[in-house]
Order: sequence, then structure tokens, then C-alpha cells
Amino acid sequence: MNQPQMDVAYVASLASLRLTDEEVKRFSADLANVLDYVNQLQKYDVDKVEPMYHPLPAWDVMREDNPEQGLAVEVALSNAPRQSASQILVPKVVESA
Amino acid sequence: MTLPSKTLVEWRDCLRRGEVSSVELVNMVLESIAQGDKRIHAYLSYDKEAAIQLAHQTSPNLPLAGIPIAIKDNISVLGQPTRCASRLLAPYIAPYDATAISLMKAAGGIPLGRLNMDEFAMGSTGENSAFGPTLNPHALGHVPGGSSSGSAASVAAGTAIAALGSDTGGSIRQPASHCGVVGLKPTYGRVSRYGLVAFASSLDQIGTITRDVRDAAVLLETICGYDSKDSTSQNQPVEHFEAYVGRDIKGKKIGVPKEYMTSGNHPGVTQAVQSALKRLESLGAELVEISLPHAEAVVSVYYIVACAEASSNLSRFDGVRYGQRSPQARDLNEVFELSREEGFGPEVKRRIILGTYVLSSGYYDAYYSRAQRVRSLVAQDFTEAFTKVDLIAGPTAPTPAPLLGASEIDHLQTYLEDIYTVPANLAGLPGISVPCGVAEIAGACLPVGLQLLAPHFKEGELITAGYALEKS
Repeated sequence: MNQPQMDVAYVASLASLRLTDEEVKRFSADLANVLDYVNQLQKYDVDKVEPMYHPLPAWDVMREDNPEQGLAVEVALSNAPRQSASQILVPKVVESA
Repeated sequence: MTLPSKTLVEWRDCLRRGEVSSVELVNMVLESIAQGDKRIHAYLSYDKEAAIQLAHQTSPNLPLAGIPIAIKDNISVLGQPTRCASRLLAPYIAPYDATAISLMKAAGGIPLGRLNMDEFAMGSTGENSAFGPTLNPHALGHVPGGSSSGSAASVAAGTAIAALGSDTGGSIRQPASHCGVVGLKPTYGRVSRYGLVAFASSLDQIGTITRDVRDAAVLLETICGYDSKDSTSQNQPVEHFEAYVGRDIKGKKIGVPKEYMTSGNHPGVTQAVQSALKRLESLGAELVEISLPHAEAVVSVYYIVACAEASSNLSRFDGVRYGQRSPQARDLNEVFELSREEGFGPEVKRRIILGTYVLSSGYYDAYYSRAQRVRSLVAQDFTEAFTKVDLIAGPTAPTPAPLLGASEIDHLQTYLEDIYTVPANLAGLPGISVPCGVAEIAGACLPVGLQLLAPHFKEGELITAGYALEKS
């Protein structure tokens, strides 16, 4: 299978990673090698094989619909970089008129 | 006062005989860390007050009798830094205990110390820690293995009595092999993953790193069990694993995959493993040559699946609710992009990118879907093998511990060293690495581990055979 080059900068943006130019260059080379290697999987005939997403699948694992105590607010916010009035602060999202 | 070199079980007996108190033992371990950790940097931090407080409240009648246990930095301990050795989580203090930790505490185990690791469990040398690598106590110029680098090194160096680690592709077994200690990864679903910072959710398991097999059995029993907070937890009765110590291995069939015994292995590894297999045979086990036809696919399958799952699991690290937020961020997108760029190390970024790619539109079928199908074939190889044998044996790693810096030269070569450990994660099987000899590499003598694999939920078989090997 002819391997198109991975557009590392684009894929990184999908993953919300703002790479430096040097990183884009370095990772392109590193990952090209890895992709080249993993392409060996193309040789296996998997048409009739089911994927194994979990080694010991457990389906529809539910609990009783009873309200449970979660983390207390102060505890849940204890690691927030910025907080105020029981909320996590982030930069403004909506532009002013 | 130096810490006498005793196993967990020996300390348990001392505590029960009243020869030492839990508080005294905790202080002895702290002293040993203060004296011995500078040399190898296995610990990222430790909280003396928290440990002493628990030591005052515990009882020697509990299964772990008040013994301090060191914990890998990706397992949540209430009130303790849980940073996964990443700059991104540098300020993070866990607001809850992992289930395995709650169970361990209830059994009298005292979490003491946060152990160094490869960042977010991504690596097999310990060099991907954001806080500097851990060194192999047997030869300081060599890596201890990873990602549970601090767990294996501290137990080997005697600065921890026992440790918990995590294993996604060999991260307990391989450093145990490289450091000459026992590493046990349970069956997938045996130990709750609640509170283990997720790397690859279908592969991760918490497990034990101990001085010997009996200690592994005792510690494992305390952390197993069904957990409703982990939807992948299996409802499997917890066994008294210590009862498997000392049982006979006469008549046990041990499969040796021909794909695992090639000339690609370091000759010292081959020699140590073959000698170990002969010892098991002399104890009455029957060695059977088997084949695992998809053995050469496992590294490819693993890196596609693990990186794909990691790219999803690590998307929560966005600088918003916890962890380091970039001071440069001027808008919300920059909160995400700059926090992640500044916080993640290069290996983590590489794996997130690879994982994102193989899941992306146009590539999902060719990579991720295909890898999960080949994964079924890999698992089938083991199901088939276990119809003929009780255990599967081979080297834990193809070479002894490499030199520091070697992995930076060739990433792919480093990935290929996981070839014997990743199958157990792909198929969900339990596995143990037991020291079986030494090999010379780069002028240093380093430990070699024998890996044993068993069918799902047959950790007892691993304990029996591992103990027999240890005593031979």
C-alpha cells in the first residue's frame, strides 16, 4: 500500500497540540518510521475476523438509578487553575458586541 | 539505621510478633530512602506525616500488617501528588483514592512515596519522566526499564519493601526483569482501574512489584476484586493466592513458543532462560514447543491500539479543570493548545499524534480497525495454545537493560523490545516476570527475567510455577 506522508501539523491540530516547526519536522521523521513498520499488518487477511476492542468484554454494565454522593464542590475544584464562586474560570469565549 | 533486607512477608511476621511497630518500620523505610534514593532517583516525593498517621491507626493483624508500600505516580492516593511524572500534572493532588489503594489501605498497607515513571506510562526505559530518569541499581549507567521504573528500582535497591505499578504493554514485567525483582500483571479486569490514570483502557492493569513470588501473591490478593466504579471490572472471586506457593508443578505443561527463542535474543538472555526452563523440567514440568503464528504482528497491533486509546484518554488534559494551565493562553483554544504543548513531553506527543492519525477519517479502517482484528488473531493464538499447555514461558525482554540514552537513537528499536510483553495486554492474560539469571551487556552484569503467562484468572498457576523457579 503506498503510504501517504502524515501531515503531522494537521493531525497535531486535531489533537489540540500546537507544535513548533522543529517538532513537526522531528516527529514527521520519527512517525514515518513507525508507520512504515506497522504497515506490515496489511498482509493479514482479516475480512472475516471480528475486532477485539476489549479482551474480556463486559456489555451493558449498569448500576441502580439511585442518586449517589459525588465529590464535594471544594474537592472537585481543588485542582482548578483558576476558580471563582464555585466555578472554574477560563478566558472569555463569547465576544463582546 | 539501615533497613534490614526482608521481604514483605518477613516484615509481616516481624510486625505480628511485635518485634517492630508499623511506625518504626515506616521510619526505617524513610531513612533508607533518604540515604539510598539519591543514587537511583526512584522516588519523586514522599509524605512522612501522612504515612506515620496511617501507621498509628493500623494493626498487625491485617493482611499487610501496617507495611509501607511505594506507589507508582499514576495511581491516585488521596491528598498525594499524582502527576504521572508529567509537567502537565505538576500541581495535581489526587482528591480521591484509587480503588486498589482503598483496598490496600483496608488491608493494612500504607502508601508511602510517589514513584518515578515514564510520563503517562509511555515508555520502557524510565527516560521519559519529566523529572529525570531513574537509574538501574545494578548498574547506574543502565536504565531500570519502564514505565514502572521507580517501582522496580526501589524494590531492587531496598528503598521500598514492595510497590504497586501499572502495566499496559509490559510496564511492570519488563522493569522487574531489568531490575531482578518479581513483577506481576493480573488478568484484565482483576484489579479495578478506578483511580489509575488511564493510558490505554483496554490494556491497562495495576499490578505488583515485589522481592519474591510469595510477596506478589500476598499483595495481589489485597488489591483484587470486582469494583462497580470500573465498568471493565470482572466479577471474579478473589483467591487466597498465597495458597499457591509451594504447590507441585509435576505434570504441568509449559509451552515455549518457538517465536520467542530465536537468535534475535541477547545470548545471555537465551542462556539464562534455557537454564531456567531446564530447572522447571527437572522439577517435573513438561516443556512443549508451541507456535504463536501472529507473534511478529504484536508490536504493530499494540502501538496502533495503545496510541489510539491514549489519544482519546489524554484529551482530558486540556488545562481547564486540573493540571498546569499555560500562562501564555489568551483565549480558550490557547488554553487547550498551549497547556498541552508546554505540558506534554515528546514521547507523549508522538503517541497522541500517531493515535489521532490512526483514528482519523480515511485511516480508521486501514489502521485502527485492522489492528483490532489482528488483535483477535493474536488472542486466538493463546486460546489455542492453552488447550495444549497450562503455562507459556519465555524471556520477558530480548535483551538485558540497555544503556541510558540508547532509546533516543532509535525509537522503533525500543518499541520492538516490547515483543514478549505486549501480547498479555492484548489478550488480557495474567503474566509474571521472575528473575532467572544474569547477562553481560556493555561490560555490566544485569538481571534477566523469565516471563510466565497463564490463561485468564489463573494467576495461581503463575504463583506456583514462579515460586518453584525461584526456589530451584
